[in-house]
Amino acid sequence: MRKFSEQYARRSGTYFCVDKGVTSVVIKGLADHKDTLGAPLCPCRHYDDKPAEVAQGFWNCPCVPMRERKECHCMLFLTPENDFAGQDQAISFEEIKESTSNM
Amino acid sequence: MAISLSASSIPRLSGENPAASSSMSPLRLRLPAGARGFGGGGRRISVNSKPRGFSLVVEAKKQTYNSFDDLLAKSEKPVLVDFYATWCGPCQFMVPILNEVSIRLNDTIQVVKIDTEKYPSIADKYKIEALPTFIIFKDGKPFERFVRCSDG
Repeated sequence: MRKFSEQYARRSGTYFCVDKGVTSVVIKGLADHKDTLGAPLCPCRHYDDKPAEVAQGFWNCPCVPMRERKECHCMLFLTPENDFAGQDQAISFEEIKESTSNM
Repeated sequence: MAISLSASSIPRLSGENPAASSSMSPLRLRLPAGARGFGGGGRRISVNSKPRGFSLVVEAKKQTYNSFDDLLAKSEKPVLVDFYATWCGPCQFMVPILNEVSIRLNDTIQVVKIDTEKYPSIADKYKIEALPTFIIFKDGKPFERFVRCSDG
């Protein structure tokens, strides 16, 4: 999901959060859902029935709000004018590991 | 069926000295697995209960409630509840901010965090969708709720 996030950020002209901890946590959450559910369901939502949501697809990353309006509630993909947007469209595996190691 | 509500690092919290500053972290609600929403029993634990040695995390104060509703009902102050998930980036982003809020508004509100993965029934009950969602409870009822906007 790290590669996906980098590629999608470039493709959509969005940037990662200035706080890469946020980026790391979300990428880990997406990977976690991909492993357990088979699809990267948005980790920043509460669901009644996760498998049903995966099948429905609305919240599979990149979710519909992101694809249609570049709205990423997870603060993973931020448009340049967003106050929290950084300059990076890349994140290393080490950065992710370091940020999420104590969780 | 006990719910543990724990706050960390409170050097001393006593009813007779409410003006004392305390470094109170947000109270984290911990329910045993399979706990349902509404408690029976009515076991009462004093607010100033002494710390217990068996807890896994070092905590100065532990309160036990029979349910989340019990917590809301017993709270004298409004309760700010943070519905979060472990792998929700913005939720983790809010952790230090909430700590600060909890400290600054210590006398005004009680801060509680609910892990929606662990307690989906509570999250379902309050129709939580986006995370983090904050609900302020007053007199045991939702008074105000807000969801963070990602627009800057």
